Amino acid sequence: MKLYHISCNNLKRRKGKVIFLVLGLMLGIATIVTLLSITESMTRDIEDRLDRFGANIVMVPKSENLALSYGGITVGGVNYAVKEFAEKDIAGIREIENRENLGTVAPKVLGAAQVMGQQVLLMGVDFAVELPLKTWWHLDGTAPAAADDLIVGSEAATTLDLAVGNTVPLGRRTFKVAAILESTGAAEDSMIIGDLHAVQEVLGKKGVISLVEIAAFCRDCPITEMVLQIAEKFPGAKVTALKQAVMAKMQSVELFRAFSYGIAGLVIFIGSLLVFVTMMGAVNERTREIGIFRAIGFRRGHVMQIILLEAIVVGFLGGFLGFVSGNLIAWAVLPLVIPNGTFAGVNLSLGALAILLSISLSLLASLYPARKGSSLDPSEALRAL
Amino acid sequence: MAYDLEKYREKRERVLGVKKRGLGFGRVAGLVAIAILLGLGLVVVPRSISFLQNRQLEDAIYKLSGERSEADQALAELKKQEGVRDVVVDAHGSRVVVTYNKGVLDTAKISAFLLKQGAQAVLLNEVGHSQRMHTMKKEAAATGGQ
Amino acid sequence: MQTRENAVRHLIEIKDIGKDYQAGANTVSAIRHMNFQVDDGEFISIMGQSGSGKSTLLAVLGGLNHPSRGQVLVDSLDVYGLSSEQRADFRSEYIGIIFQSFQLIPYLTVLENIKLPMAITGISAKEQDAMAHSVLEKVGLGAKAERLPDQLSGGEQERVAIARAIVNRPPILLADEPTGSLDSETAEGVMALLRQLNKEGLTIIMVTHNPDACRHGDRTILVRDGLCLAQ
Repeated sequence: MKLYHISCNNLKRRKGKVIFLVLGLMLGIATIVTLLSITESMTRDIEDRLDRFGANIVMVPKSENLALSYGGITVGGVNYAVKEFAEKDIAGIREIENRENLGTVAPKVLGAAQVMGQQVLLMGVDFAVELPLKTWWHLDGTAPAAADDLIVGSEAATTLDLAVGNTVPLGRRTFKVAAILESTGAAEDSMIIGDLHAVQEVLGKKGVISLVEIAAFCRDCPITEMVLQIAEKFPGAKVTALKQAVMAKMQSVELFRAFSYGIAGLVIFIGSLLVFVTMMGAVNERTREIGIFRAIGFRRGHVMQIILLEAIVVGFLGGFLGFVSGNLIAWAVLPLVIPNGTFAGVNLSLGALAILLSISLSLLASLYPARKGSSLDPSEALRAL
Repeated sequence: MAYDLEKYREKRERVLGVKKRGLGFGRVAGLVAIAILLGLGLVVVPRSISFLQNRQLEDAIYKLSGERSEADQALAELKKQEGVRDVVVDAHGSRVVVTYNKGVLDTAKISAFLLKQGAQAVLLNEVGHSQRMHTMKKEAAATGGQ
Repeated sequence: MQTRENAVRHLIEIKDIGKDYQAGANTVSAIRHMNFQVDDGEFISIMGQSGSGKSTLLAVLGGLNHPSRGQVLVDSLDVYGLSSEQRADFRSEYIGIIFQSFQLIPYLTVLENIKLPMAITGISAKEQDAMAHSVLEKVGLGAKAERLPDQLSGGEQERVAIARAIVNRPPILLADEPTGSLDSETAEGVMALLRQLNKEGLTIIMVTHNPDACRHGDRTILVRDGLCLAQ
């Protein structure tokens, strides 16, 4: 027989109380784990997008009004009244200091056009540079080869009832649908994408560029610096790293995280109070028993050890179960918080932290009751003697 | 039976030999628990506080041109404006980072102020302050590691 | 000074002890003045009416209750000159106590209750098992090792309490009314067991109000109003 046998046996005997204690801690830990798992999944979701956009930079004309969403992210304004870029100036991008880090420079022209009786957003791109940049595009058909080939976004295709091989009259020219773009969940879905110069002609914007997407040819290269260099080169442009645009979303996640910590602190405090009150009650109930322990030679430290070992077991159970249930809740709730979001997965180091936290709280909350119990005068405790 | 002093000598010595052996279980457990909680608190609390404090801060990056002394004068004035946290001229000497509270100011106001002061400044970029710090740290680590 | 090796002639020496309690504004003396000695291997009965101070005396002897004055020397150790931790070890090393109402731990089995005093001694599990079973046989409860205390009769609980008190092989056994709640036949059995243990060398101090029980002892100390009347 060792002291922990006494602790375990006592816990077994007081199942109701133990369940109550474990539930209290579990609730606190589960709240923390749920909130942190959700923020982690949100972060993961944003980072996924970051990865997708890689080191891309978007350059649009500076404007105070009319924002346009592109790639699912608001990157700036394209206003038809503002001065767009001249195609011949675009080459200037390649003159920045960090030019060796520049990969693809993909200029685009944007404009609305009447297509088969519907207003549609037309985008003119240089397919040779655009397609390698859009690694997430899945084309149903063949990649455009000729100047009169089109890619039609999935939504646009449905609305206009277009299929691969159909012809589409645009302005004075006739184009052929070379491919349908599978749904990306972004703005391309409702667009018709054609050759840059052909679309410029259709829109009456010869030599005009609405926005430029720039892929930086590097990993961990100084994107912020490159953005500034391009901005210096084009005073009329608003240059944004897509990463920066996505990162702005991170702010709200951070706010949620800070809020989570606050809530978690509160719940944990209540949980610890619960442990304290219950342990205090348990020690009072066990006065006689503690008296017996002391009478047969247990030191104060032994009595404390018995009570604290119980606290450790309760803390461990609360932490472990809280971690498991927190993950389950996060997994169940996540689709409601982030549409199409995926659960970030079980974070084992968070699990270890949760269990440590739970044990520490349980220990601290039991410290005073244990001290009080162990300092009981044996003859006082054993009035029956 | 007559009392024999030697009979229980071992027991007697065990009783008298009891010394306070270092730290007791309770104290160790308490200390470890406090250390863990303090450690967690030290990680979480300052981060949350600094996040909440910096949440409203934005960085506007301007390119300076023209007379340097005029610009310096303008920047010194700008620094005194309400809502401006910091004005730092970066390593290139031609760019200035204005950290401001977006609840009080916006870039239009800052640009207008600089123009009024006679400084020639072009807004290059607008970034969240903590985000810029984060990116700079990451990029510094990346270039430092190469 | 924690030991009085030179001056001590008896295993237990009670020197001018007294114990006062505060009851409101009044001071009540549970033990007014007592002086006696017990030799190694003796079987002493302390007899008195309830409230005579005999249970307090037992607690003082067992290192459980600090006297207001006087000295308790056991094996030349000044029990109340020891630190609280040393006194706990003193109880573990020297004293086995049988409480009036047995005081078994209700959620531990008979065997576990008996092993309880060994939980802090560092004795290996195997040895603990052997020692516990051996005392269990001695008190005649070998078949009931896995029962819980409330599944036993009063006499059996008493035997478990005895087994627990002697399992660590202490030199001194303190018994508080060991036959108080037992029928005469069972009581007789318990007394025979104590007698047997005494013959094996155990020093026994038994508190009782029953003159019948006293005849098993070598000597009887009469206690009334906190004073020793006769030895």
